[in-house]
Amino acid sequence: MNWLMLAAYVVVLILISIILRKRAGRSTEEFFLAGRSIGPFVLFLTLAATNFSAFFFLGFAGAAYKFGLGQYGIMGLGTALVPISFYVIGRKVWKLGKQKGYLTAPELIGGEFSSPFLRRLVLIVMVVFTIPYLLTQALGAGMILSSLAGIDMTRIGAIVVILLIGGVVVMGGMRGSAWTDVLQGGVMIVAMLAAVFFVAKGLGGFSKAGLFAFEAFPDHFMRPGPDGFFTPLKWFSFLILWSFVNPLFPQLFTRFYTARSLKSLRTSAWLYPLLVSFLFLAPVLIGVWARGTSLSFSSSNMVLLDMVVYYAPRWVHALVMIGALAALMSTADSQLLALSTMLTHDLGIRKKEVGVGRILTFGLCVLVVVLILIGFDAKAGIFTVLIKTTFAGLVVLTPATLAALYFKRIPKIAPVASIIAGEAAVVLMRLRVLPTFGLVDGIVALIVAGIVLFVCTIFFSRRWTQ
Amino acid sequence: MTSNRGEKNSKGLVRGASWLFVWVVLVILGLDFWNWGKPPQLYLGLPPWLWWDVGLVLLTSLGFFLLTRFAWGDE
Repeated sequence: MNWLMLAAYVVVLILISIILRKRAGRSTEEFFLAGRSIGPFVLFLTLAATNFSAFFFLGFAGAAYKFGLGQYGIMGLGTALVPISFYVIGRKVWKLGKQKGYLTAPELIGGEFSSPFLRRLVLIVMVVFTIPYLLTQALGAGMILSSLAGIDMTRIGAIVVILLIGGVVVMGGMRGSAWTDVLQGGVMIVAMLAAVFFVAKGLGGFSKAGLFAFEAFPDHFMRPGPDGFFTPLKWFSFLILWSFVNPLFPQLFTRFYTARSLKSLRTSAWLYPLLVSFLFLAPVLIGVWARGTSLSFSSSNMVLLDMVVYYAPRWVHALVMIGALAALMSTADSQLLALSTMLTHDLGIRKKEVGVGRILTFGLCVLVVVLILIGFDAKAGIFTVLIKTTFAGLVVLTPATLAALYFKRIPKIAPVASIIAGEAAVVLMRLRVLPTFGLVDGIVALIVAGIVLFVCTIFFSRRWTQ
Repeated sequence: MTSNRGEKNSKGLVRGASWLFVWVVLVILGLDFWNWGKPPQLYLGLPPWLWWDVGLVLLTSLGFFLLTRFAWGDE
């Protein structure tokens, strides 16, 4: 039954890609940006599905299990505020994309300042912080398939899923990615709602589930939460962080270009908080409710899946597995396409871009497979650092992006210095040389990047005037 | 021509300021430190501060809906 449902899901995914294959190959804009013709409904679902990663199904409940209900505030409420960036950044990006034919974030930021160096710098930052994230999505898929099969097949599962995602992107391009996101978005919404409904039912209802957990661990229902985790400064940091960092994920930034009209973006701006933030409540509730049970979990990442196995019917377990796969596949295919778009376009390839883009997509999948085969461990080494610093590493680009969109007459050295100083601050905070003053590192990095941009603008503008 | 552009710019500034104002108000409302550390009374299994957060999410959606209607600018 479980495998049949999974097979049906995969077949539909492949069918969508095959149907869209011919259309995807028509032109560069069609392959990389779906011909800038995505309507409101598809754009909204593709933006939401892209934002729902492996963390939504695997990490979120585990974090709530550890730190309590406050997890909803820093993620759900913070994410609800993100659509301000649809107005401030997305709207301008869409307009400039239409006017000047931009396809990527590095092209726009470098292009507005007429600086090939700045373009390369933004490209490097985006690629460096996106590849490890892509790897974690693949490994998350391996974990889910292992849970479904009942045996450890993390690596082989990860390889199969990344090759499947690669196939979807190679065939369907952006249009394929967007339409599969619609399917994946639908599946993950239904799966998460089924999970929270049946787990609550299994625990005797919403009120009882909450009460049991509250009696066992009252700290999980208060802030600052267990071990004082949610400090006011940390709360404030996360509340504002997502508005600045989300649009700078290359897979989300690229989606701004794909809108058919500004109406598409406008609709997403108010629907986004409604869907994303309410759905975030479900895994948080399941994670906290787990505290009121006598279950023990092999890893915090397995809290949601184990709760579903124990309290929900078997078909719900299968649906949740597929929903979890859909969540991480919708993020991974968007990351893969964003990476191949940047590597094709920003490295100056002008001939047969679609063909090169397809080859690069396949090449990136091979790279992921090789890293998995040689024993890539998501919990070790440089990748952990990169994953932990992804948000800080990308949010550093925000001041330079805003300057490119609104103040492109400032000296081009200002955005370059801003990015370099911001990334240096991220490294120094990781080495514990630079204090974070109780804020999360992304906010400190953003402040450093912003100050450097401002100071350089004043200093170099005056020098030039003199 | 110049006055048209000036008028357009000032309208753009008002729209931008409206978005920023709503965002700042929502952030301030999200910093509900008066609820910090209180032993909660549960309503439907959830503490009041979580209901506050859920209400804020609804308010955010409503706020952005109104902004997209009245402060979005030219299509």
